[in-house]
Amino acid sequence: MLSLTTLFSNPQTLLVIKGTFLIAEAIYAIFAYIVVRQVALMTLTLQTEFTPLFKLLAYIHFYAVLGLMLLTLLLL
Amino acid sequence: MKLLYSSYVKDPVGVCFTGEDSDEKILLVLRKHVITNLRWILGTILLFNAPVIAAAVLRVNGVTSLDFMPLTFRFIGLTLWYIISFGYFFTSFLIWFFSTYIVSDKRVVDIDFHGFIHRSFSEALLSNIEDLTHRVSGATQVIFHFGTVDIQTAGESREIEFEKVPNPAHVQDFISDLTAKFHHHRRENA
Repeated sequence: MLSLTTLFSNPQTLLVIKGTFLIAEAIYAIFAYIVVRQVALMTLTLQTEFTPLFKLLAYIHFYAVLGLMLLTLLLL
Repeated sequence: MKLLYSSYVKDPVGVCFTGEDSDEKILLVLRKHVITNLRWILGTILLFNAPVIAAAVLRVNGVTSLDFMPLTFRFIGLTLWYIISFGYFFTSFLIWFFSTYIVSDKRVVDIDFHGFIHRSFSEALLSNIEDLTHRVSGATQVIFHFGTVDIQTAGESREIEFEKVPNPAHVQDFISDLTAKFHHHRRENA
């Protein structure tokens, strides 16, 4: 039986995992951008004192994913 | 602040909706009862604790350390997991927060966000409201005192539903009094 240590020390395995992470992050980044746009629409429909907070959280969420993609490319 | 977590806010401050008239006053903002959020709240708790649970399961199965995977991979994987968990919590909360039922001194408004990307906006003038009924069905609704208020309007048999709102009897009574007052003023001015 192949040990986990042997499996994860294989550069090809790590490359596949890196590719999987990048694809997942790219797909999620699209979703996070949709969240940003939808929050803009929601806050336009119903304006409250929390509108700036929701917009800020949506942008932080989106840029966090983008930052993570960059980290994935740099670190992995 | 109450607007952030409450399903029943009377005379809310700092709230306006699209299409609101300048002389219009919002009297009541309603949402689905907080208990209806239990599923996604528990889901969020589960998601945030999943790495801890996974580590415990692995330990039970003899995997005591994750050192076989490089630290950078573990960091990226964990960060992505928590970002996705936050995304789930955030979108679920937003759907609940923005799916509102508004009662103003001129109309009733039903703003629905189905899923996350589908929006519907229905309104009925107080003058067009013909019939009001409320329903409380099921043990959960009885225990937590929430239900549905059906607002029948004139014209094309359109109905607006205030689904799973707190104190449905009081909401019905509130709208009924408002409608009566509206018709009374109209008769006086006629």
